[in-house]
Amino acid sequence: MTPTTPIISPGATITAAPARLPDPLPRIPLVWGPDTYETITHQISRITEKPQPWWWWPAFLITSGLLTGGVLAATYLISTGVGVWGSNNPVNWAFDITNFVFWIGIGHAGTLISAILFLFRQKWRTSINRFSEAMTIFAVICAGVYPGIHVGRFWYAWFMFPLPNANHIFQNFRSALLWDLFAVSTYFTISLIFWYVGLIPDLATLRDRAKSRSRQVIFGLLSLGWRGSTRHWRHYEVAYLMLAGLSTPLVLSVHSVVSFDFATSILPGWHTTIFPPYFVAGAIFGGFAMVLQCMIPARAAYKLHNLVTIKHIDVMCKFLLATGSLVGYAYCMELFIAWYSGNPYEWQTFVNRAWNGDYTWAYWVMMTCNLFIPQVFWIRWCRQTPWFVLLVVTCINVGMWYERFVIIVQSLHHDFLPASWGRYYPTWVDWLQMLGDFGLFFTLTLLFIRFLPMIAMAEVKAVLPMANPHYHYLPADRYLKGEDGRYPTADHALAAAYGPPAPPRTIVPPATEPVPAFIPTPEGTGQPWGAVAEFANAQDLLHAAQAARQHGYTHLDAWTPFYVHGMKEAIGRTRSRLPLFTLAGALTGLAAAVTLQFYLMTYYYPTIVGGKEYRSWEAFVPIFFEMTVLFAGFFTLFALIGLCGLPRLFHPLDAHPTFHRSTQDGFFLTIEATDPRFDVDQTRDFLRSIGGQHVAVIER
Amino acid sequence: MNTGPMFDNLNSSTHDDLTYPAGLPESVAPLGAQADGIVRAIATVTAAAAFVLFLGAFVNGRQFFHSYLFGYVFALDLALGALFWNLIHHISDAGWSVGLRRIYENIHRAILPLSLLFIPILIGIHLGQLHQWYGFIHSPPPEETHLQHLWHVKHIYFNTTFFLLRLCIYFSIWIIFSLIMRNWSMLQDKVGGATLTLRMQRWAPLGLVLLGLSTTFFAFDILMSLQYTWFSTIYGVYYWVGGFRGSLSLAVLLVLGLHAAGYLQRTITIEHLHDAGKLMFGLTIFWAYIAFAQYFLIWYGNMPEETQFYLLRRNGAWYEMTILLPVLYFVVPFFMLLPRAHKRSPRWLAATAMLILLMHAYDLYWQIMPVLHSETLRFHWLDVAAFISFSGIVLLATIWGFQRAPLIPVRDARLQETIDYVNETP
Repeated sequence: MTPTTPIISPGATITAAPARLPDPLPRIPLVWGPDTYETITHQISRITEKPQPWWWWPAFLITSGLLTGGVLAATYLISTGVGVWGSNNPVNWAFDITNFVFWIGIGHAGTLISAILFLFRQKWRTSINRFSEAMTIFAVICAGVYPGIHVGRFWYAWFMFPLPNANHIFQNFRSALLWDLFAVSTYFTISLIFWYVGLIPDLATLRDRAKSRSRQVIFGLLSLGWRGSTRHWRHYEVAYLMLAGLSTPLVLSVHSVVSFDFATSILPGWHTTIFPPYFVAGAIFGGFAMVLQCMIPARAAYKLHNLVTIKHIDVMCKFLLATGSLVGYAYCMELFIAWYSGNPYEWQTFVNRAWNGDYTWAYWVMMTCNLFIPQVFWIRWCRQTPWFVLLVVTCINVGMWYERFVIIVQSLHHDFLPASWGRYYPTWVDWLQMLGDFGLFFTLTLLFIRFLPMIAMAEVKAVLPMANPHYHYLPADRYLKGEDGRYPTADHALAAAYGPPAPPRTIVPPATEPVPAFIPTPEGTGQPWGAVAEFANAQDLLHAAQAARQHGYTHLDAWTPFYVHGMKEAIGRTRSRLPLFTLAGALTGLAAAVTLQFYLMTYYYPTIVGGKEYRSWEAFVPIFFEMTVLFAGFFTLFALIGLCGLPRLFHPLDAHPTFHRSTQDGFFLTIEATDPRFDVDQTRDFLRSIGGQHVAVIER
Repeated sequence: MNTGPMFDNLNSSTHDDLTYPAGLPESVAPLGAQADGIVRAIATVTAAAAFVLFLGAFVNGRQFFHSYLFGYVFALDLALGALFWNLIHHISDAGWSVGLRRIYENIHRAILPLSLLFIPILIGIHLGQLHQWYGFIHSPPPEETHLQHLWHVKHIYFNTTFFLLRLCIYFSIWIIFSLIMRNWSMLQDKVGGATLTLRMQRWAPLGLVLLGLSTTFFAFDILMSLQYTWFSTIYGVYYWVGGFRGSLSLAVLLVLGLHAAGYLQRTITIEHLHDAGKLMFGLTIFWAYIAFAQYFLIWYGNMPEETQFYLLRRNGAWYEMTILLPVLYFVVPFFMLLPRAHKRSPRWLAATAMLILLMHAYDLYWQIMPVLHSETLRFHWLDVAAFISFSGIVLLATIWGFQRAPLIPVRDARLQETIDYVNETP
């Protein structure tokens, strides 16, 4: 049975707008200008495909030169001993731990942007999340250098892992340093998984655009054979949500655990209960500053003004203002409580810090850079002038480094006993190591922007007005204007200058070669795999899938460059059950952590630390949490790969001449031969009748 | 495709010069006389409880003032939390929570009457029935050196003029921001346009900064100082989070109540409640994080001036009551809110919101009462009377608000967005 009239006509998307309530303050689109799926794919992919710009090699040489310095410093340190650093009694921790905490903190912004803003549905994050997530990973690598080398004899670093009773030394699960090991390694692992999962659709885009065989193979392997199937998207979106949900408390826990490093080593100035949230706020603050520090030059160099708009910078500056003020709040609480407590030792520490100590200058550098200077962001001009923002975020980066310096060096140099007071002088090795870390970070960043898509294409496409079927297109002369015909705010005028967004395209672009009605595959069996048709846009595809379902087809799949809401229902699928795997992973991890710690610390190798009882559970909580998240993350990743049946490097659909667009700007519907109603000719005709283009039956 | 008939004619009970825009999916006119019955019922119960509470002042002074303080901070927390949610709505230029905004505006109407009701607490302090620092600083400096130091510090901080001045500042901030935010919102109902939205967005950040600082110091001055030798830098944050959780739960319960009475069913739908459920879930975890951070660092540090807070709450039955807090205020709501289906079920949401609201009250009870009954838990009928009277005051202020103003901000710039809103979680 073949319907004679098309059920839907191509281009039926833009219908008359329904009666709407007044809209005096139109939402500003997140992408400015008339971008389409195609232009975005092109703009971002091109950066990795064409030769590097002129400045790339000089920049790379500088950063890798710094990195080499760091490697030399580390080699000298390891071959000679930690004495080559300036750390000595009483300041036993100095640049090493300052840099460690600084870099860990930098990483936090990436997770905030990618996970927390995702949960809060702050869709503007899509333009910057990839970049920030990459920075998270690089920053954690930079931080990880220090625990590795600061022990001097780094070949004993494996002692940090919970291996049974190696050399009669056992891990102390009540020590903040071991929590740190768990926290940082979990954080690194989960961030890497999160980043990689986010990258998969974009890697597939690069594979499908690849001109050379080697790029095709590399990106083909890395993308695991992703093709944008809705059956995969439905698991993918849930997995992404689960990972975001896991990363959010994880990011809070990591810097909280870092704060425990200090808070549990009781010295005045080191221990106040606000430390955990204060460190987290500080980390996000410093991280946002670093994201802007890298993003503003990259935006200018690659002309990404339409994607990373001035409004993005504006909003990020507001975040800096908010988190900077939270950090300022914590500074003030510390100061106030030190006085209010009536504890003369506590108060003396703060007087020493802020008033008459050796490092008062460092304290005021910190206060100025972190609390006072960011207050300029109350002013709109300061938030929207990139060079000025760059200046301020440089100050913030300096300030956040000094914050750690103040907490560590200043507290240590002046403890309870005047006899053990002393100053700290960094050596050239300290400086070289620190610069080397910056070299490592920027080298990795440069490599990343060179070889991987620095903006999440699939996610940006999903926030384009054309991806929203309910987007209210106004005539160009009324675009972003209020009822009174004027721009409600200056931001509206700025965005409007880029021009109104493009409506979805209504016709399928022609294929470069004619599409035969039956496409054989290289190792074909002669049997049909199924029929495929291309549609002009997401709405048409959605309607087509619904029409196919109404027609009685059940083995459907829709292939899209991004997740289209409502598509999984249209092809007859329900919500993914993947969260059950996540939950199972979480419970497994929790059970493992409970067993590990109680068995080892209470029964197998009972140890009294800090006067705590063998059975006291409190000190085990950080590792309970970290292992819960770690296992949940792994289970999520494996469930995603398993439920999607990936990796699947070859697929019959690859033979279709336009199908490579499914990861760029094409929308495809397939009806598989396993469908009871499948018939080579009738199904093909049906697909044509509902407006499908490039219709073909593919050999299995 | 039009979503429904125009309900212009249903919004007939216009108020002053208020008109309704065409295209609203249902009537959102003020409740007016329709709510008189429930108002009378609540007012009767509240008045009865308040009378019992008043009698209690003559039966047991110390117990009365502590119970009063418990009821009072519970109500104030809800009102301040509502102000916070309202401000954060404007700061983030949110679209989904336009409907909830009016609920918060109605809840934080309670700030004004609560400001007057603070006076009995001042009397309690003055009579020496509440905060022990009052006696401490009004006696001559003690002999012991470390107490002398403490005396000098507390003498300055709790100096009567300074103390009253601070309280005046806190209440002024709260009253000013609760009034201007609600008044601008009422004005917007009449005139519409973007101007008032932008004005509220411009002032909300300042309000939030001031609200954060003032609630912190209010918590220090009124709650933390119940044990005046104890201190914790995170205490202000702990206090905020409780208020956020409480008022969010109250808002959810109010929406569900309005739904049951047949209102707002098409303007605040399960999609919005789902989001509120997510926030409740997130804040449940956040509360646990803050509570654990405070407990953990004090436990690990093991310094007497800090551990006194938790030691006091281990005496007698307080020990079990202390364990109850993380179980019923974190673990149970966590698992109740974890499945997506629960966050989209009015019944589950109502049950969880009720639990969180009650546990919020219990959290404050747990912070206040061990100071009075340090040996063990002693439950008193005045606690119930105070809880009912102050809950009644918040409810009355809120429902009176619903009687006077449209149930949602009818000319909010984001109204269409909130009506169209669909949760996009996969």
